[in-house]
Amino acid sequence: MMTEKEEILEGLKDSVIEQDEDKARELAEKALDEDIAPFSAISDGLAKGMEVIGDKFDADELYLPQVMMSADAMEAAMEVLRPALQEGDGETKGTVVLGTVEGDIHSIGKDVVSSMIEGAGFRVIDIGKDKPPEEFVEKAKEEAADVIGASALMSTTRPEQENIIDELGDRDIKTIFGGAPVTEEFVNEIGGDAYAVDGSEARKEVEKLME
Amino acid sequence: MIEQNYRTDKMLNEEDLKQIHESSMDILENTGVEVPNEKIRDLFKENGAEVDGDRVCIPETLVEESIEKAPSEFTIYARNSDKNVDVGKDHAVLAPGYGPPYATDIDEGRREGTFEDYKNFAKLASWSDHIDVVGGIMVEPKDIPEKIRPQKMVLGAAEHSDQPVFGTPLNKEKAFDCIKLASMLHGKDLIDDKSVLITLVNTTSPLGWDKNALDALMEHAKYNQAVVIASLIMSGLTGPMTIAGTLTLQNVEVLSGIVLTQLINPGTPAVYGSASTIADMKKGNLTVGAPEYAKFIGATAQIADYYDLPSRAGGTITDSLLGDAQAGYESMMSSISSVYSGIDFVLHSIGLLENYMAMSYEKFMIDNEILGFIKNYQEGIEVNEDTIAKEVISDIGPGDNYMRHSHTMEHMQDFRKPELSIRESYEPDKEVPSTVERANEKWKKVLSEYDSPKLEEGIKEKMEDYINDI
Repeated sequence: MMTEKEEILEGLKDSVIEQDEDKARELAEKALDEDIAPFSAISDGLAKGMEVIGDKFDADELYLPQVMMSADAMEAAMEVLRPALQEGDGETKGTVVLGTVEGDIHSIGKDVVSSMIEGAGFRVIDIGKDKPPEEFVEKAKEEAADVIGASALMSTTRPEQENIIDELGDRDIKTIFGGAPVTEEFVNEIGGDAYAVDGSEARKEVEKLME
Repeated sequence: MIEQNYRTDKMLNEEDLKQIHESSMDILENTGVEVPNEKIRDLFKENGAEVDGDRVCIPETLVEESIEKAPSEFTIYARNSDKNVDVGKDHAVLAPGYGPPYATDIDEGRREGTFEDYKNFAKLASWSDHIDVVGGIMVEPKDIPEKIRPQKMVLGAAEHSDQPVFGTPLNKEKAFDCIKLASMLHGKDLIDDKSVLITLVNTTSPLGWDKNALDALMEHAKYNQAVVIASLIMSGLTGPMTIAGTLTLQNVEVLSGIVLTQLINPGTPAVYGSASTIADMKKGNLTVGAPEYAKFIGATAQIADYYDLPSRAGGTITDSLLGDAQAGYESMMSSISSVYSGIDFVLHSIGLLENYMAMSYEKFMIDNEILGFIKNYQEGIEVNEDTIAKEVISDIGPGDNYMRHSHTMEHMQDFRKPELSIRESYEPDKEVPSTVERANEKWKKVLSEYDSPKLEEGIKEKMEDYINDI
């Protein structure tokens, strides 16, 4: 027999898998009513659901929009849980500032990465597209971020990723880069900390960066 | 260039076209497109469009008037006038792959493109009997500073080819420089009465324009230089999850660009362009090798025809990461669709692997063979007294063979000789190199034997001086 708390956590996990925003929101409220720690609701409930979704995505069993809908369900619950989190009841896994580099208006890849990382229980600050290096770094300082992630779709805008590293200087913030013309070799060359080919990889790499 | 004698242009019927047209007009007039340039918004407004913030709503009458002014065919002038190219006639004008950051071959593998690679591809493109326009980002020469990259690409192409030039208009200044350099090839300072280059400007889907793209488009129109206006919509990501919906969205975006060219300078050659296709909805990746893409190509040719505009779509392209069977069958399908459906200008006709990411030396040779096949097919069958050979058939009668007949001697060289394919019989002890290995041998041979057409005295120096002053 599951305890009521276990049932709520299981329900949160299922709500993400079932892409059910309403259920996720309701159960998040119930979790708070039942004195489940928000951090536990996220990591033992929602994130477990996203894990299943991530594995299915990797195995080609899901379509990308289904993953986005699951991430939306997770976000619906997060909206309920987040205010409680800020009361010091626990912490998220870390904060990631994410954006598309200056001169580049391509944001779909970045949006997918954003959903995937958020789905893994990170706090994601998405600063949008066509953003200069200063804005990445300013925002990261402001939000005490652990990681900056920057996407570039064009070979002409890829050098902006290096500019972010320059702007960062010796601050203790990790970097992860991606985008069609970006390679692991390039990221090593410019001194970035991680490279990811897609959203699922990005989630894993950010988790590694936080270790 | 490939003559288009046998067309398969029935992807959409008249009712389909009408529905797409009417929905597009509705969206143009009531939803509009985002134009992040005040000067252009004012121009639209003066001509009867409704402007609200960045949003420009274009009434059907303005669309129709503008399309009327756009030429249905035009010429791009080459430094060698024998190589001038007509766009919009019953043939497919072919241009090489555009945009890849990487060069690849089976000896060295995939690496960042260099100017050396760029010049090599200019030579190979010029050598090909099929390619009509040389230049653009055949591969991105990463060893050239970004500030002068498009300009150096014009020079790199012009030095090794006497065909019309493809420009790279990343912003206003670069667009102007490319026009200026192309004019120099004709011994002129700045040409604005005929197209001496053609270039590509893309919309930002859905329903938007990038500031730099707009600036480049304005510059081209101002100097009367041909421009391909294209959408690259990915169904389900930047457009609706259906082909008809994506075609409609594309129509709205491209027509907004065509209208703009004609408002700036009536009569500017503008090509109705498409690179729209489906995305792989499991990974969200762009997909150019799918059969659905071939349908986009066919439909785009018909929609452009509906407006009496020249069309651009397709290519000889693939999603495959290497020069394998998938690269072959996908490239043949996209190439056939492009030519057979009546596309007027086929960018990406040669060399590309992994959609638009890598220019491959071996794939270049394989695509050249594909184009050779298609050209041969489009030449059709000659039927006359001589070719029906009634008397030859009576002469030989039953039972004998035709090998020694004079008619055979006369015609035995008529058929296309393969340049890459093999037709040998199997021999147990003979090693057969793969297509890619044969292609590897071939491009090296072509490059080592290639003679670049000389530029007129002093022109190269003038172009170099101009670039050095940037």
